[in-house]
Amino acid sequence: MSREQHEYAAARVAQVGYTAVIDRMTPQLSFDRISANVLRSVGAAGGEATTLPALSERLSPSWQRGAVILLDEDQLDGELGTRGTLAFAISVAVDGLVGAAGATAVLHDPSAALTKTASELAQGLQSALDAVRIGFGPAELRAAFARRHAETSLILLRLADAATPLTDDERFAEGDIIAIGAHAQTADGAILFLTSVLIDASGGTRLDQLPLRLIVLQ
Amino acid sequence: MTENALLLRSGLSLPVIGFGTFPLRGEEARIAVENAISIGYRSIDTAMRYRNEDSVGAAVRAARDRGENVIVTTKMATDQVGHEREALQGSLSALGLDQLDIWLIHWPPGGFAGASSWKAFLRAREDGLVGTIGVSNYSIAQIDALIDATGVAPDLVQRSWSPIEFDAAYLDACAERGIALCAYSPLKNTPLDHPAIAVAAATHSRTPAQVVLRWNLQHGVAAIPKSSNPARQAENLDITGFTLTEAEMTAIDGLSTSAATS
Repeated sequence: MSREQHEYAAARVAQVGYTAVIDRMTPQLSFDRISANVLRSVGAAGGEATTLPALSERLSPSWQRGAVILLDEDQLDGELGTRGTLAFAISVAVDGLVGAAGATAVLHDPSAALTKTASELAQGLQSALDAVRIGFGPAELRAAFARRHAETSLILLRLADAATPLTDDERFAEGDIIAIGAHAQTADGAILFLTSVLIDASGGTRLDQLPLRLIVLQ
Repeated sequence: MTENALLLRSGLSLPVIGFGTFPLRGEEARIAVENAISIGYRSIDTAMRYRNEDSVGAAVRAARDRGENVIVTTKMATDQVGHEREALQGSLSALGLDQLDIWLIHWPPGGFAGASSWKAFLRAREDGLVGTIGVSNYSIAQIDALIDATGVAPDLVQRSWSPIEFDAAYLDACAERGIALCAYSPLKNTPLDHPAIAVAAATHSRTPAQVVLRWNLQHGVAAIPKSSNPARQAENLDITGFTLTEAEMTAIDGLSTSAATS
């Protein structure tokens, strides 16, 4: 199996982990149960839960266990509440190569302010995704992101046998896999979007189908 | 109900045995569905989440081009709440179809009934994009919440359902509401070597899997076993020509470890 196929598998399995969170989400679901659901689903899909220190350091999670990072500090102690947001990231490894995914859901009608911030963050992230090119680097993506959303910064990680922050002097080469995300902290809760991209002749091809928008579940 | 099909409230005649496609993908999925259709399956189950709608659609379109009537079920992913019509158009596009036979809400969104999505499902049916609508993995309380919100019950509910998960109250509640039940993972976690199944299999010269699928049929429950093994696909489809006795049905019902979920 080629390196690209391995990493594609890692992105796919990370999406399986995302699905295990989103589809089973209910109020009062314990964080431990969420973690267990992810562990089981990721394992069944041929991956293993792993921690990505670079991602944890970047996000400063309020709760973390294995593959699952939760950001919102407003949730009830150890279980999902119906207020605030559930911003989460999943990190997995498949045959020694890593993948990551992140999303944000709410179990209530979101406030107008939360919806607006999430929408702007998503637009900024999409602008960054549209700017991905061979030979470009973090500076070009940050500039594209800032034109739509100047208040927060992008998450840019190189995915290989580990996740490492992209440095300003790095340039994208065909076949690279990068995780691109955006994170904001609002009065109504945290917002996180995180997706995986393959650098190719078209610029960048997303390797998962995660919605880059606030997910409303009710 | 005939021996081979359930007549749904929508008017659709749903084969009692369908073909489940999770977690098949790509060429493996297309070939498995083509093979299933070639040996007689006429109901194929997929979902947005399975990421195989394109492969399933290719096999189904080829069969329809040959004049074979193949029913397709797909399911809207939970994260599409508020984006139902786009999700439907995405599934239709991936499947390569203009109209969907059966469209289900895959999971109760956020553990809630998802009344806003259900209203969108009703509109899709009114617009002629879908023939039959329903839900998956719903409790009776969640189904009742949809009925309370819209006055319209699902035509079909799909859930994990095996002898171990048998729940007479759930089955009765579906029947009272005119909802057909379709079992996914009908053989998973089933103790096929349990005497209640093994003895019936020996008595009728059938396999334990065929006995379990026949048990579903006699309860009026459709089932979608998944197998990429052609011999097992054929075996799962061949459940006519024998009838479980009342005592055998009761014995298999007795394997249930489920508490009432309704």
